[in-house]
Amino acid sequence: MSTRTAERAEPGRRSNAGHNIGRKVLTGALGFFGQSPAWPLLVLLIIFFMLATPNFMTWFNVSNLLTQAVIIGILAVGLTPVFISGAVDLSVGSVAGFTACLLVTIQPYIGLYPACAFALLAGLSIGLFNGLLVEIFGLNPIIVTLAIMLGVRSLTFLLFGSATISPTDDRLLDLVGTKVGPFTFDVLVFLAVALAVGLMLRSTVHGINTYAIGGSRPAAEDAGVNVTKHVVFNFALCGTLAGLVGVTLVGQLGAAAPVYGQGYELLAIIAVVLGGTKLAGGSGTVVGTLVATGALTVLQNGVNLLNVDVRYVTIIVGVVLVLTLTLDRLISGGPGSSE
Amino acid sequence: MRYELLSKISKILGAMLAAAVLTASVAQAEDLPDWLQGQKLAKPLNEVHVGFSIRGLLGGGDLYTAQYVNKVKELAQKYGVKLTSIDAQDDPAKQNQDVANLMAQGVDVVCVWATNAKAIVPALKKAHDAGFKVVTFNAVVDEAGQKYVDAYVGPNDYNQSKLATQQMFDAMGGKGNIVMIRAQLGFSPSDLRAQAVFDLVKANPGITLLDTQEGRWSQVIAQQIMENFITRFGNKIDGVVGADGYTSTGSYLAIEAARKSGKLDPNHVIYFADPNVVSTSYDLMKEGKFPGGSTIQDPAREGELAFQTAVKVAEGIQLPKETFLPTPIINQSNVNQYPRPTN
Repeated sequence: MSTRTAERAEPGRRSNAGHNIGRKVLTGALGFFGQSPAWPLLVLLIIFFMLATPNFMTWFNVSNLLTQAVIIGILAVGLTPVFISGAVDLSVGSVAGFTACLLVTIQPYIGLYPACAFALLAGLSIGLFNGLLVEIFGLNPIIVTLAIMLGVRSLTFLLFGSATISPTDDRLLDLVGTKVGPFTFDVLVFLAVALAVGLMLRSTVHGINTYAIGGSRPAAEDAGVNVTKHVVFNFALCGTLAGLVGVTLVGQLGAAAPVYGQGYELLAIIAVVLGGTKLAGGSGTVVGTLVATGALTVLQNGVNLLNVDVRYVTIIVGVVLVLTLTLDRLISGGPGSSE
Repeated sequence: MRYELLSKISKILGAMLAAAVLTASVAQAEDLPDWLQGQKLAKPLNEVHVGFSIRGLLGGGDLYTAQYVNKVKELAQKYGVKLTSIDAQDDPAKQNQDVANLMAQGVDVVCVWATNAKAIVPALKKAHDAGFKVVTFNAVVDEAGQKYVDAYVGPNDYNQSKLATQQMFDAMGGKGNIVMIRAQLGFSPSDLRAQAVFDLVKANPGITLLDTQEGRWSQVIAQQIMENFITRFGNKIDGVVGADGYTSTGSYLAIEAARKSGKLDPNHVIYFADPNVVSTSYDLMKEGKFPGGSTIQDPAREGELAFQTAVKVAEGIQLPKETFLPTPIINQSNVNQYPRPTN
C-alpha cells in the first residue's frame, strides 16, 4: 500500500520537482544574466552584427575576436578582485609596457623563459608595492596607482630608451601564434587565467573574504579577517597579470616599445564595471567581466566590419556603454550601477 | 533568299555588337583616371576594395591625418572604389587587430600607416602569408617587415628633416645653441626626423643641442615645453627644431610671450626649423617671423598618392617598391611661390 502510495505519489513529486527545477533554472538564468548588464548587450550585438555583415560570423573573424579580447581581458580579470575588495589599480597599462620592454631587453642575457618569469615577477613586485602603499600607509588607491602609473611609464622610457626593441629569440612570437584546436595559445592562457581567478573568488577563503572586505571593511575587520593580507594579495595578483599582458604583447607583436599599454587601464576598468562589478566593491564576477570584455570586443570589431567612419567609432562605443549602464540602472537598480 | 536576309541581319547585328563593345571599351578607357590610362586592370574600379589602417586619427591624431584620410575618402567615392578605413588610435596592439579585421572583410589590398615600425611586422606577415597585397604609407616599417610589403608611398622623413634643419644651421652661420621638440618616441617618422637632427648636430661641431623633449605633434604641448626651455636656458637659445609646423608655432608663441614679458631679449634672433610647414607656420614665414626653414609635405597630395598606389596594387599593376612624396624646401625667401597649406 505504502509502495503504491509512494508510486502514485511519484508522478506528482516528479511534476513538482520538474516545476521546481524549471523555476530554479529560470531564476538562476535570470540571476546569472542579471548579474551583468553586458549579457543582453553581448547577445544584441552578436545578433545585430550577424544580420548586418556576412563577414562577422566567419571562422576567421571569430578567431580574430578571441585574440582581440585577450589583452584587455587579462587586465580586466586581474582588476576584478581589486575592485571587489573596494580598491582600484590604474597602473596596469604602464606595468604591461614596462614588463614587455624588460622581457625583450633581458632575454638575450638570461634566455627567453627565465626572462618571461622575470617579467611576471616584476609585475608582481609592482602590484605588491601598490598594495603595501595602500594598506600600510593608508593611502588612497587612486592616487597611489596613478602615481605608479606615471612613474613606471617614465621609468620605462628612462631604462629602455625611446626605440622599439626587438627580441633576439622569436619563439614567443611562434608560441603565441600556435593553434591549439580553434584557439591560439594566448587565448587558452587567457581562458585558463579567467577560470583560475573565477574559482579563486568563488571557492576559496580568500575569495569570500575579498567580497566581505568590499561589502564592509569595518565588518570584515570586526570578524577577524586579515584585510591587509587579502587586499595586498589582490594587488599583487593584478600586477602579475599585467606582467602577463606585457609578455603576451611581446608574443603578439614580436617587439616591445615603451608606449605599449597606454590607456589600457581605462578599457579594462570599463570592462570590469560593465561586467557588473561595483566601483564601491562587494560584488562582481569574473564571468561578468569576461562577458563585458566580449561585448566590447564585438562592438569594436563589428563597427570596423561595417566600415563605420573612424571618427564615429569611439563615439558609438561611448554611447553604447553609457546607454547600457543607464538602462541597467533604470531597470534593475542593479549591480551594473557604479555606486 | 531567306538565307541571304538572315545573313545580312546577322552581319548588321554583329557590326552593331562590335560597335557597342568598342564604344563601351572606349567609354571605359575615357572613364579611367589619367593615372590608370594604358594599364591593364584586373577588375573594374567599382569592384576594388581597399582597406586602410590609419595610425591614429583620434588617439593623438592631427589635422594632417584628417586631411589625408578625407582625400582618400573623396577619391574612393569619386572612382567608386570600396574603402574601409580603421583607426588604430596610436596603439600598436590595436593596429595588429585592425589588420586582421581588414583581412576578415576580404579587401583586395591591406594598406597600413604603421604606428610602430617593428610591432606591425607580425600583422604584415600574417596578411602577406594569407595572400593579401600589402601597401605601407607615410611611415616606413622595420627592415624585417619589408619583405611582406608590395609598395611604400610617403615622405622620406629623414631627408626632409635634414633639409629643413640644414637651412636653419646655414642661417645661423653654423654655430649656436639649439633645442629640439620632437614628436612621440617609437613612431618611425618621429624617430627618423629626430635622428636626422642628431646626425646633423654631430656633423656641425659649432652647433650644441641643449635638450630634446617630446611634444607629440601638439602646438599646446610644444608651447609648454618651450616655456620651460626659456626658463632653463633663456637667451642661450639660438634655434628651435620642431617636429612639424604646429610644434614650431607653439614654440614661436612661447618665445613671443617671453620677449614681451622681458624673459628674453627682444633683439635676440631665434631661428626655426621643422620638416613640415603648416598654415600657421606658413603665415609666420610670410610675416618674416620664421627665420630658418621647413619643407612642404601636403596631406592631400600624399593621400592622393596613397590611394592611387593602393588601387594600382589591387589591380595587379607592377610598381616600384618605394614612391617618395616630393617635399620641396620652403623658407622666408621663397614662401610666396607656394600656396598656403590647408592643414
